[in-house]
Amino acid sequence: MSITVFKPDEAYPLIAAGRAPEGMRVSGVLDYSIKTTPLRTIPIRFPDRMHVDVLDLNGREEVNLPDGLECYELNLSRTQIRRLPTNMKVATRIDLSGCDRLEELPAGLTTGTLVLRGCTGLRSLPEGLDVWFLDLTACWAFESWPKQIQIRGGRLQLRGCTALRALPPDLAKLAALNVRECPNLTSLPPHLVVTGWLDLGHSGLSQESVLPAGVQQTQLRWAGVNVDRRIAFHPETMHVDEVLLERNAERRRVLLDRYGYSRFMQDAKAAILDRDTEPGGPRQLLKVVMQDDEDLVALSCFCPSTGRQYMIRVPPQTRTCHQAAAWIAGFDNPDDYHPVLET
Amino acid sequence: MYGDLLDSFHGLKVIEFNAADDWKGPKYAYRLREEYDDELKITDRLDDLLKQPGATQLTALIIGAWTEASGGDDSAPLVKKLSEVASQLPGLRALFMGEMTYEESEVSWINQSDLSPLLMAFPRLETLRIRGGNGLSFSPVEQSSLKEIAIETGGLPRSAIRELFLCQFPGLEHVELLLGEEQYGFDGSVEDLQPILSGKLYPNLKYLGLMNSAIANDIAAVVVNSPIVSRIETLDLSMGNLDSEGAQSLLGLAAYPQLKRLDISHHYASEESVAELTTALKCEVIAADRQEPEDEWRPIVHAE
Repeated sequence: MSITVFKPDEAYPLIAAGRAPEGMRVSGVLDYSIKTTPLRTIPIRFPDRMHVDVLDLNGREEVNLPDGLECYELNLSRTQIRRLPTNMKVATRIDLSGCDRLEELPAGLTTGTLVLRGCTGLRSLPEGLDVWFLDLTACWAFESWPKQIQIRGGRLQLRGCTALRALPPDLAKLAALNVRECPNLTSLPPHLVVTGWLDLGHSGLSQESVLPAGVQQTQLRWAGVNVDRRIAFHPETMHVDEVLLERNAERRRVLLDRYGYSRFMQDAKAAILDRDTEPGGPRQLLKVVMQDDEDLVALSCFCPSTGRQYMIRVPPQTRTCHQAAAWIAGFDNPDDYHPVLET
Repeated sequence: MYGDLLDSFHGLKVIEFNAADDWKGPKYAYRLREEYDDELKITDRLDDLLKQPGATQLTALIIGAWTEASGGDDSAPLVKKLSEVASQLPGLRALFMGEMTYEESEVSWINQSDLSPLLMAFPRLETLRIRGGNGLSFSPVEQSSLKEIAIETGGLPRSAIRELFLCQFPGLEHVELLLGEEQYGFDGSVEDLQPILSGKLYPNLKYLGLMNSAIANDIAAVVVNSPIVSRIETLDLSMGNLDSEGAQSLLGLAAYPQLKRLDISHHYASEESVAELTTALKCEVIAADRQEPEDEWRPIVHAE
């Protein structure tokens, strides 16, 4: 007996009419995404045990996944989904990016790529998770790993997981690891090997000694730009000319970040465009001319409550401290900016 | 870009077939192509070819440039025609669909179509080469004779990768995917290659080519961690933009003694990192056509 395989155009009306048979097989893409098919009626229910190559529900508020769903790829990004059914099978990719209501995933979830970008309600991952690529970018509530987890040599993206304090201790091999903006992550698993790159910009990995042996040769990145170990761990050894003479703008941004704005303004002999005094203390508007790039103009000021000194970059056409402060506060017209009290 | 047409295909010398005079018997591979606005179309030439003595024993056929291949006419009518005459070509084992030079059509302009009907029509086909990723698709098909598939593109859409992986080709031993770059249609990432890297798709795979790729470093870093590298004989990452970072990743291949050959030709790696790789690996390392590592713009070989 041969199995009937439906084409998407045959499947849509059957699903819409509620006449799709249980166990229906669809070859191709069922596209219910809000951006490409806003008028397509979302079914109350897909048939149970539906088998489809790609099910795209991107942006749909109401999502009701059937029992026993099987697909190659499932796109649930920017939906209001809270949990996934326990008995679905997705071979290669589940995209849940922007699902800020998502609370939990089923135990033993197995797929190729799991995208959880911006799932800000997610605190943990399920026991027995088995993936190749895991993207937890901006999951700032995420804090605990399951006891059993497999990440099979692909990429682990953790940028902005600010609550995270550790990686799974048994983690063995990754192609790439992004822990940018993970300030509380201060060590890596001892047996970890990273075959591609490690982005550690603004993470808690501030000392070279915390890198395990398997990461010693790994290409380091700082905020997306390749850097060597000296730039990553010993910015105090940098010379101001390294920043000034760097021709690549992306790389210069990172070098400047590592060098520090305050130190840079001092060492680059910044011109003082303007100065005044504020409740927090004296302010200066400083300028350094950059080769093949817009001028670097920054306001040096003190926080009135903490007394800390800040160097904040402002648009290059800024001429006065007041204009700079107004721009930082979000005013397009400096004449509208009259702070009564700063805290 | 592709400047020349093949001299040999499937181990046979290629002859361009325009009329009965060109027929030299079935021990040659024949190319059918048409000039722009040619009165004689490829389909007419194919009809002529099939009338030649011994044509049923033909083993290798190349479909070259068709009129408006880059304008608007896709390969669908040719796929249909070939499928219709399949019973007259029972010996066909190798087919090249869309072999053309950049002067005939840039690789990224060639309009392909669903090529699975060819695999249904020729159940004993062993080699399928395809040039052009536009409109390329594979409806689900199972064909167990196919040993070699090569898809040459300036940008292979992830939908075509998915459809290929959803077909059943359990006999595949040789896969070349020229992935290309974003600007010309590659909209995927290394994540889309996971099914082939897991080793489950093609249990007999010996030659893995993930070539002409603008994400060669990403591929190198993942491929060394993949089950498939413990089984293949050749890993071909040539024609892309691999640099020293990718060469560093490939040092991990030293753990796989069955690997016979690594090809990273057309690369941007430093001499030192290539030397380190060659020393670390026991297999043959082909690292020809070195590009300037200092260049920030790092083109791949076949894009437009």
